[in-house]
Amino acid sequence: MSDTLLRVEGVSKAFPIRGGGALHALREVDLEIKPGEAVGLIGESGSGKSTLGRIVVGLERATSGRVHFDGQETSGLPARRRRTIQRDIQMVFQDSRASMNPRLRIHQIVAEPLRTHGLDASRGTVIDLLQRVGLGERFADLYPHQLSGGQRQRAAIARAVSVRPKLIVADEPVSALDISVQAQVLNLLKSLAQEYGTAFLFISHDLGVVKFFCDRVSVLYLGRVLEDGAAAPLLAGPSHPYTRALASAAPSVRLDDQRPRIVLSGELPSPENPPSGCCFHPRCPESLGDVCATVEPGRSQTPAGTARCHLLESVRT
Amino acid sequence: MADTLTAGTRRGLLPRIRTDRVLAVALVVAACYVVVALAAPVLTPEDPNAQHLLATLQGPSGAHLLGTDEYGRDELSRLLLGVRSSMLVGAIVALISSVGGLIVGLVSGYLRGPVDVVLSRIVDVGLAFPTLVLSLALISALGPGARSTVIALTLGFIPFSARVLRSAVLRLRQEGFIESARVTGVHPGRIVLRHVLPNLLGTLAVQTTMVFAYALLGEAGLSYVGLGVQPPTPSLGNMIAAGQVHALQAPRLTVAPGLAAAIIIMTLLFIGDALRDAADPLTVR
Amino acid sequence: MSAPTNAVLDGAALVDATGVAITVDGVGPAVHGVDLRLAAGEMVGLVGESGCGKSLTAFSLLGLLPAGVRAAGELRFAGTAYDLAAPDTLRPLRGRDVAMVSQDPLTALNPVSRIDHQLGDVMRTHLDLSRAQRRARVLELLERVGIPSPRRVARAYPFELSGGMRQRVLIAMAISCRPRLLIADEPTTALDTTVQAQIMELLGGLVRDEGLAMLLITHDLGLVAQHCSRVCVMYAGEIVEHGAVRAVLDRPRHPYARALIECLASRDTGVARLATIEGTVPPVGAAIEGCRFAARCHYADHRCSVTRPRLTATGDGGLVACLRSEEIADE
Repeated sequence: MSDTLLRVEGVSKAFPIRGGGALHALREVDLEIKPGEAVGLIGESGSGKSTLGRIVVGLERATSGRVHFDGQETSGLPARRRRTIQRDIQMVFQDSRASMNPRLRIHQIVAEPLRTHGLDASRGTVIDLLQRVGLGERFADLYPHQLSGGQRQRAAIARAVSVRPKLIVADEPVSALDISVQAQVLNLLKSLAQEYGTAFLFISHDLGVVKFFCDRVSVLYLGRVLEDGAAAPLLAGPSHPYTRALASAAPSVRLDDQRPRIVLSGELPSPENPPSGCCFHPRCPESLGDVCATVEPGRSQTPAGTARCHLLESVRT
Repeated sequence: MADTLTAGTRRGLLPRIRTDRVLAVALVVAACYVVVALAAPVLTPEDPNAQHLLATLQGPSGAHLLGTDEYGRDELSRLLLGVRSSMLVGAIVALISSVGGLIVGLVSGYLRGPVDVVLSRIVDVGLAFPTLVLSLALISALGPGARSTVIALTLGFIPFSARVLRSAVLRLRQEGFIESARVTGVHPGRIVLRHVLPNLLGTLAVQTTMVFAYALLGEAGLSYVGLGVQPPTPSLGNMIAAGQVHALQAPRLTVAPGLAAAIIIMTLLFIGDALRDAADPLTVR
Repeated sequence: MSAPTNAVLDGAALVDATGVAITVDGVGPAVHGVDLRLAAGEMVGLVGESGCGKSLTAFSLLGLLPAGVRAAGELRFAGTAYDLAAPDTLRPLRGRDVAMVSQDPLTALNPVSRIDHQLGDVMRTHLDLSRAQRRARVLELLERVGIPSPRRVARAYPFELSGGMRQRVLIAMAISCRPRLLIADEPTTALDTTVQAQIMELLGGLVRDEGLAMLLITHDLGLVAQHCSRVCVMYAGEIVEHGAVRAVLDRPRHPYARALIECLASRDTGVARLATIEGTVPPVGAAIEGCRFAARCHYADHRCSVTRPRLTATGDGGLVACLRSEEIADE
């Protein structure tokens, strides 16, 4: 067994659209997660970050490319085999309310993964789990709509960690919550991750949240990884112009915030028809012109990891 | 803020009854019909098939509250039994076509793929024929009678229920909690039983009530043209047909069963609407 | 809390709302007497978490509260007094002098009507313009809000536009009758970060260049920090702190404001645990005798659960509603 828990290799995903053509949600994405590591996936809507999460948990199939989990290729696995490895990959959704059957009580919801995988799903076990995520026994018999957003997300986390998975895919787990509640839930997730040694694929548009939670990050734009690397250095000193713009656009409450404010022009182009060359070139404030519009940049080394940008290539050569 | 403001709009059927007078009346009416249907043999003042050829077409009196028909049979007794046979046909058709529609809808909507394509085409064919025409054709093949009526109407209504329930299943399939169960590795059969089915009950109740109403109507129509419940067994449809010969001398012989049929059909449609509102809080006015 | 001295803004205010109180029928009071003042050419942030009553407060100024929600209080707009308890009297202000940009740019537009028609309709209600003048003004407005090809967008339907474009159209609609106050309710919450930056830049420009007064309602203190001059922090239906943005961020006087800022700031500093505010917001209508934040407050003592603090002036020109603000300011 290698020291890689999840390896995503050259994964592409195209959704056919009516009237011909396809929406290219992901294009040859590579990603690796080591056991116990938290990897952030940053991007705006349409970047494909949620699609990648859904491929990893098996809700979608990649059009091409391979996904290895725990030394096993999962992309072509039959449904029955797939369900057995599902114990090791759990998910926390953005909308905790939608992710729970409104007709079941919290203890039934939390017990479901345990029951599914033939583990002890007794009430005592479930209440221990609820207490572990900061919910008392009194929540066990309530229905999802009787909980606040933060409490519901705690229950969703209890459900996800109940079977001690090796990997949790968290898709915007706190973005529907208030700031003070976000902090509570993030602290909880982090302490659980450390206690159980769980690896995370943490999908978010919020750089502050990712900076707190993740060891490494990948920045997605139009289905392409534009930059990846260690979280702290990458977010403190981004190498790719897009990451720089993203970092500067994120509102901060720090008074010593002296970052130059970069406001990008235009919006995300349609993933149906991604721009030629570097997919970021139409909005790039530092575009070099023809090269960027025609040639797809390769990967260059950066202080934090790698990035795809012609600017960095010209520095190198 | 939005949560606290909208919390009050989601209301089940029970709290609705307290505030909605018309719904309460509709439920009482429906309950009366059910009692009559179940207890008709005990409730009838007289043997509904006993002929008194010397006392035909008599007006309402103390002995015969609704008078007598062309064979001198007690009209009230026949009406009560007519309600019974019509309700029985309606209920059986509603139940079987709902179960059938549910199975087709679940299989088609949850499995998708080739199974769905085949089933959906069959359902489309069923929908393309008017139910009554389809029933007429089936009964001419099976021979007239109550059993043929039930079979014909059931086959006619299954496509409707299947279509409605399939689209409800498709919608549910997109829900986060179904995806969550799939990610967890829950067996598809269990997902259907534990997550899809319970959330389908509202739609199913609406559909069953509606089919009940239309099946009553269908039974009345088929019996009226002589293909449904066969005399001397009374049903609302064949009573109207028998009574219309004497429409001028004794209009009550057509009006009474006609009214009985109209009231229960309208009541059921009204309850169906209320159930729909209760099942889907988004359509609240 | 009646008529506190608004030390930050002493000059003539364009908007002066006093004692805004809002009650939800069957639930209880949701906003307990809030005062707001805005001058022309300034952007004021109204910040708070969900359920604090910030949106209700804004809607009450427009007379647009949902059914079953009643307001009380007075609004003085450019010298004229309006009674918030009689929402109909506010109708002449709405759309004309006071306009609104809402959170959801899709549902705020009619899906089956072209953009130029929708913009034209708003103008027809309030402005006396000929058809040709209206058409010219539509293009002018679309250009003003930074839409790259106004002619094409004018003939488009809402679904053909991206979220950012739709929000620009809504802003164009809001400013079409040259309002003097713009209420922006979470205008960028549904948008991506880079698009949010564009929209805030646009709104900031309107305030700077055209002298609009703008009330920015948001849960995002970072947004307020970057764009507003003053900020009101709301908690459980009342304003707990008010002051110049720099002063509040630099030295928050109220424990709630302080905790909120720490929550956000701790993300940037690479700590092992984020600062949090334990517990939850009291439900709307809860009967609380003393300070509404006391149950979650690190600094609360025996007085806090008995005495309700009133907004009082701080040394640096702000207002704070906390019994212990002076004692804890130096910690």
